[in-house]
Amino acid sequence: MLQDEHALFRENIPAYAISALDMQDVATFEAHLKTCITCQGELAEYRSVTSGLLQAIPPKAPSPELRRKLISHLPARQSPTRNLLMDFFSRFSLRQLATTALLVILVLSNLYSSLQLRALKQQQAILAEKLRSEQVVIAMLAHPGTQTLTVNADVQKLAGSMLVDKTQNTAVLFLWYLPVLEPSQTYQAWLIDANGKRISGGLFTAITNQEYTAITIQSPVPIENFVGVGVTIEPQGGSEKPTGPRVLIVNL
Amino acid sequence: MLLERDQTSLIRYNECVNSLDETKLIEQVALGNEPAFLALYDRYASRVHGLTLRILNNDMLAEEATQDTFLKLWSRARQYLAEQGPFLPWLLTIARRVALDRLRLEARRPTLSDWNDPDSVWQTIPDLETLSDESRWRSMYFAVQGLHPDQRTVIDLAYYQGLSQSEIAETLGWPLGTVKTRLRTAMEKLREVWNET
Repeated sequence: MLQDEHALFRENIPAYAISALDMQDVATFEAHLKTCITCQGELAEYRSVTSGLLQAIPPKAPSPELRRKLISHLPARQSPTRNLLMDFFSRFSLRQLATTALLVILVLSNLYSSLQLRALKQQQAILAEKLRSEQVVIAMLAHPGTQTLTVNADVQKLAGSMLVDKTQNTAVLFLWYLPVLEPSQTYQAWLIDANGKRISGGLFTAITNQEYTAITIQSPVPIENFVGVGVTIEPQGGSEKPTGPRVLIVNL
Repeated sequence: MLLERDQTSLIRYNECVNSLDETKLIEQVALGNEPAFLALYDRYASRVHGLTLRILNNDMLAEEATQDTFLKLWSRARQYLAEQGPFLPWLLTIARRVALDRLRLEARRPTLSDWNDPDSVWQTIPDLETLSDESRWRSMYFAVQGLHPDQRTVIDLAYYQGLSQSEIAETLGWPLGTVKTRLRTAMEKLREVWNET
């Protein structure tokens, strides 16, 4: 670099340090500054002068009113948690944060859709079962051999009846005010033969949005092979044989 | 009774906060500690206000700029890094920017400084010979006072009114070259004083 050129830039150091260098000269000066260690050192000295100029002003106390005004103008107290969060988020660029937020929204939206779909499927299964029971009931009521038997309830307020054609393999239980069980429990129907042996007639739950519950009981052989139908409370998934308290019995 | 005990606790707490060193106070301000913030205000409000008043030359505007400076301190305390330099110049740099922004907003014509302000408490501070920071700033004050009036005017318009060399030349009706020379000479003199103290 030419000495004359360096001298020209060097002359600008005091003005640059005191922020008085004209805008059109700043860019070329800064370009020179990047490559010139001598100018960088001299600038550092002049900058300490400007720091001294800042502090060389005589102090002057503001009015006491200002302190009060300042307190009332303070924004809400920053919590340490908020600071930690701010520090954490400040490590990422706006683009990264936006992408992450979009991904989180997509995942949450997907999760929400899955849950909705699952709930709809459960509702559909309940409605299908109800429809099937009602179709069976209509068919049985129309059948000349159908009998209506009384339910003997072991639970207070529970009442009902059973439609059965003993020559067929199907019976329908109508139960009123069947208590709703905990999610870990289920009702299980049992077909009881003359020797006291019990085979499962199916699992069911109380329907929560109506007062009665209709349950179709399927038997592997005609119902006339049994002497009774019982219902017990069992763990979710059912049991091999009755283990829980009896809810009702119907004598065939 | 309970109120008295609470007040006593508060006074003790405030005394404890006031005795903290500067770095600890700033750390506390960054965490939203209001007593620490007020301790810093009590310590530096007159320095900040002196500067804003010097730039704006108007009590009301200067108080507003002082307030804005401390509000910025409240919201930006965590940006201050002690290893990059002392706190006061950092705070005064904020105050200078706030005041110059306000000056531009008000489109006020620059006013020349009165470095011989008789109300100044500055000259009453004794012990000019010590090498403490305070004495260095006092030396700088007297060094500026000792400049030739034309040089002092240029420094004043450049640093405390935020004017560029061309703007100073236009304001004073001086040739640009004269402004550059006077500014450079003034800065060289101040640099000598600053390095000697």
